[in-house]
Amino acid sequence: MVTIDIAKCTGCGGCIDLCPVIAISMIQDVVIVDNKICTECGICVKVCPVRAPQKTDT
Amino acid sequence: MPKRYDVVVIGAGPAGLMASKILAEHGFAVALLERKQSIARVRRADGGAIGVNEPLYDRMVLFDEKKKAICFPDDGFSVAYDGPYANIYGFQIYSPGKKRILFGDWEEARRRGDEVRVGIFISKESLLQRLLDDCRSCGVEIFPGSNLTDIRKTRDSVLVNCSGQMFEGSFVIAADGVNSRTVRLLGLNSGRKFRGTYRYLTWMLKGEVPIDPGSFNFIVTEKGSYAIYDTYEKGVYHVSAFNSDPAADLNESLQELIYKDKNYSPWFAGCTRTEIINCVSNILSPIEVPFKDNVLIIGDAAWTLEFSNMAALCNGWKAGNALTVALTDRTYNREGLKGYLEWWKKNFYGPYGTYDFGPMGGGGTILQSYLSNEELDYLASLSEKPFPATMNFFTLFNTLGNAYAELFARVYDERPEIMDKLFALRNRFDEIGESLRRAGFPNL
Repeated sequence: MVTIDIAKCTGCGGCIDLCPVIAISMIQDVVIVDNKICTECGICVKVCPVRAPQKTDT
Repeated sequence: MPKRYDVVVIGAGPAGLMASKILAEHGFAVALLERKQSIARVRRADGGAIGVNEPLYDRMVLFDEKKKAICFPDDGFSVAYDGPYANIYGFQIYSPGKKRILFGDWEEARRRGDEVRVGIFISKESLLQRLLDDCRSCGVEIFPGSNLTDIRKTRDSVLVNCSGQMFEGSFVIAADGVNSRTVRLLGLNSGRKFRGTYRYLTWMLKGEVPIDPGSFNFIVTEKGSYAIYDTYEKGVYHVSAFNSDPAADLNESLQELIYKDKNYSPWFAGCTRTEIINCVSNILSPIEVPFKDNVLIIGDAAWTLEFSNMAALCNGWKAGNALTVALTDRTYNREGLKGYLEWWKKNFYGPYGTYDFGPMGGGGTILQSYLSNEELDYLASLSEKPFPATMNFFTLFNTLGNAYAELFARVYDERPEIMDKLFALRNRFDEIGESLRRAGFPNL
């Protein structure tokens, strides 16, 4: 699954815009991933300038 | 049943706020949707600049500090701006060894001040806050925390779904920025030429950095491409690393400049970092006809690179007025927006629709992977006189391209190996684009 490190996230929204399946949204100015929708394609991990999204095995 | 509005506006940046304000002033019911909670708080890295005193996208923009207004004399309107500001006198490009290509004359700037400024650094938060207050006082219904998930046309309206909350409008304005989700959901990205996905990481620094006051600087070194600029606040600088290579570590690249680079790190001694901001930007060619299924796409959402605040304001104003006419005439279709779409095509799509960005379209460290620091210094040292000051990126690219095209005969003579490398670089752009696509960019 993909989780967001809230301490790193600056709320720029880049990952929200580039997520191909609309699994990411902005709540209270930081982003969250809906892992029911996420396909773990990894775009958000690649695109984030501050490396806030992380892919973990579960 | 969702509440029906005349217009639903997606995105509360300068374009969306401006359009909402104009429509509400004209008596229409407007819903303004924004995914951020605090609308005026800018979380995305932004130059925070307004170009003035030169035509940009064929519109002249002036700043009247006495009346505290950004004025658009071609169209006859102005936007209140009562926040802080500082003059901008142009761009500078620094090579690894501090050789400079100047777009502006800082000697002249010291003598003549306001008269020769080509822009002002503004507080975007002040600009947005004032527009937001205006929107509230003329009755725009504002919905912060709204994430667009779906948009569809019905027989006589458009339905906008934000995580289950529905909004219905006769028209929709999409002002959701450079990586617009609305545009993607409407399928309008297909056919746009993809030129790269840029990532920017910016550190806000407090201290004294020895750049010319009112300068917007680019630094190119073997380790990265950087931007450094003043802000409206004295002693506060934005230092950014940017790259379109998905493998590049922006943090490492920025640390290299600030802490390790032998020429540049002394600039930052004594500075303290106050904030980190960043952004991601898909560069796609502009949309030829920014209208589909009663959705009008304005600002960066229909444009190619990061627009400018003033072009966004102008787009918003024009769109608000165009929809006013369409709603009054009850022409809920493309015909009703003919004027706006013709204006867009003439001033935005026409001149820039097929613009070739050259090395810009490739990536942040592509040039450096071909040319050494010494070679970059050599190329920069060829430009001896300052070019005219500008805040217009297209003018900058064109001026630079034309000047170097003329210099290439000399480079060929003096340093033929550099010309060979430049030709090899040019041939690699398609390959670079392909590698980006393989990495998953962009999501059209």
